[in-house]
Amino acid sequence: MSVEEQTTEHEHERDTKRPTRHAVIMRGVVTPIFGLLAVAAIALGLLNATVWKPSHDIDATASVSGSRYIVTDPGVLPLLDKNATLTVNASSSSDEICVALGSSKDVAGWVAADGNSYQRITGLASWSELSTQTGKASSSSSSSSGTQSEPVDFRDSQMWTSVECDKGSVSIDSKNTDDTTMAIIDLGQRNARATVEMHWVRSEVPDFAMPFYLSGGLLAVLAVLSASLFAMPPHKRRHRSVAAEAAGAAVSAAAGTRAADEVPIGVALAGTMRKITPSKRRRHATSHRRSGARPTQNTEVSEALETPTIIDPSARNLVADQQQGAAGTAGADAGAAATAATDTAATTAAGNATDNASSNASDNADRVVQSGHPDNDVESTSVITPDELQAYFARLAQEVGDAGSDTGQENR
Amino acid sequence: MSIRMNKACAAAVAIIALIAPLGACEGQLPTPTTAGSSAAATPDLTEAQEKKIRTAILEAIGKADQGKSTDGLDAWMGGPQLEIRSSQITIAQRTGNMSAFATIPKDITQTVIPTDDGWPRSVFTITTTTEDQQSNRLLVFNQESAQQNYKLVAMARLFQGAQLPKFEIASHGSRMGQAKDENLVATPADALAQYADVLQNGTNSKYSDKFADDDLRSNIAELTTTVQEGMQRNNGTQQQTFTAVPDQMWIMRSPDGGDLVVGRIDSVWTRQAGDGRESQPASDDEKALYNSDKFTSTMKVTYVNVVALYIPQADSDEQITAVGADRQPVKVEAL
Repeated sequence: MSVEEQTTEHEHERDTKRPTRHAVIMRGVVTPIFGLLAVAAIALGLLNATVWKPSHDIDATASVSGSRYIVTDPGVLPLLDKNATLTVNASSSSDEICVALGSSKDVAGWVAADGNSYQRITGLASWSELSTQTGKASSSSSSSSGTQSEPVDFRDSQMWTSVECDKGSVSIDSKNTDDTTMAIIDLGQRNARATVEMHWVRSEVPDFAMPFYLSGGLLAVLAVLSASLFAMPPHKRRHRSVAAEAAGAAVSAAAGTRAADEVPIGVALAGTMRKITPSKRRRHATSHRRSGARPTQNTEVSEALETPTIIDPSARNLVADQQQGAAGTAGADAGAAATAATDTAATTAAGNATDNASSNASDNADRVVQSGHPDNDVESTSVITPDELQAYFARLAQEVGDAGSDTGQENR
Repeated sequence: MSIRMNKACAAAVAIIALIAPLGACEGQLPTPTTAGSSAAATPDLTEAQEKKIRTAILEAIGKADQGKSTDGLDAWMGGPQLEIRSSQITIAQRTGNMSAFATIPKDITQTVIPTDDGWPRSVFTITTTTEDQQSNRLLVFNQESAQQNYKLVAMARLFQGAQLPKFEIASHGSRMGQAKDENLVATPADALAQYADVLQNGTNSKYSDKFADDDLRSNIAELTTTVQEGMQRNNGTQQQTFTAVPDQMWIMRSPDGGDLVVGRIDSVWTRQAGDGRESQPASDDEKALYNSDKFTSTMKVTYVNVVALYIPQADSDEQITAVGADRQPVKVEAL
């Protein structure tokens, strides 16, 4: 007992005196980086929510000349919001210009009946500029009814849902625009030059701050994790849990509380990590050549310390056992054989058990002696101390002797 | 430690420098989307627009009636209704009273709005009954081209007890028909011409059993018989010719498969008085139109008739029914 306890304590003190390089890097470099990034992300998010917030008011203009009619494509009026304001400024203030809103069928029909080419406003070229295109003249204007009467005045046409006319500058509001509404601008017969301006007040503005806030939060969580969890050296975590199991109830409790006093977060996180990363445990287990013994040992020794653990008596690594047997260290076989002996003694008839037990006991006695060698790996015998093993076998021999005498009496 | 701090700072600044240019954006430039505008046929007018148009036209007509002037009427009316109205106003100028048949109520019971994309477009509107309990009027408003306004081109006074076909509600719209629509008992052009023949020849017409009895037929038949008796007493003759005018026809398709056709039939009534007697106007309207005391033995009166026919589907085995009509002399000549 003392050998193992002492070595554990040594390592313990060694670790607390000088933090590992891994911990230093994690706590000293990675954590500040994450922390800085988190702060930067939150700062950017704040900037995006205040100073860099996309504006509600959008004003886009375009300069048009060469055609009598200017038409907005369907879908352009409600491009940024359901309400839009269209303003037309003629180059000279004496030109009479009109603007009207109508359905796409009607506007297209009017322009087609006119027969000349027209200008189309197709969308936004940038956040302050409208994109325009020239629409082709249609050839079908003369194909309709034979007697062509004079076209009615633009403002008198019954097709428009609203019409505004004025000299020099005219403005029209479109409320609750749907996708088929188009605006048509009549620049008069002399094809005046004009600037068209569209103004929207956006009711919904893209939110750029939220992604920054989210990533800032994530980075902050990562910083906290890297300062605490990721800084823990993995073998130290495992060590602490091993010491708790092997020592026995009182000792392990003491070691556990000691460990808990030292770094409470570490133990808690280590316990969590152990439960969710079984591969590490197994890896460590095989590397230290402790296989089937540990699960069984759990039941006998650590019931007082931990919640009941699951025993898997079949979780034995036979290859490792063979190797151990060949190398001459006791370890798994002793424990397993002892268990087998216990089971068989308890369940089968004394006659069979006697033979097995006696032969095994003699074998195990040899192995036990060998396991007491100080050169052997301390880990491999830590599940069961040699003293305990001796005590057990003494008890077993006594029981066997009693049973043999009983059966001998019966058989006679 | 300071080297590490420097490295950390440099990394942070580099990341901020990458992200910062995104911060000053307005967002992505939107492109206009035309959400399936051609998927469903939409009515060419809203009900509010139809009401506005109708009110404007009726106001103009009312003013012309009151002022007893035909000036500027052709901006608001066209087709047969323009001629009928002009004649009625002329008569009113001379007699002092507008014909009761010319009244158009302000309220409507139904409007049938087309969904067709092209021009010309016609809207059928059915008014309520008049204040003096005359029957409903079927008004036809026509927009000849995109750059024209709607005009009242035809009005038919519906017969008592006439059944009109059902149409889609105004917010849904109906489709207009064509002169050569198939799948009907007769194409609209043919139906109009055959009806003209029936009006002219009465029961002797070979088409007379294709058409159900209606008020116009019976009225004209009665009138002809009366005048014939009078003529024969004086050894006179008379004849009426009815001619359909197929390019002044407006058709609306009913969802039950038939067509409602409003068309113009011109008729000329020639009366010759025998025995050297004078042929005189047969009605007050004719008299007012003639506006003279000088008569000869022959009188030729030109009438404009507007009829509304419902043509059922080909496989329905029903007769074509006239549901409304209007008739007005427009010219009286003594030859």
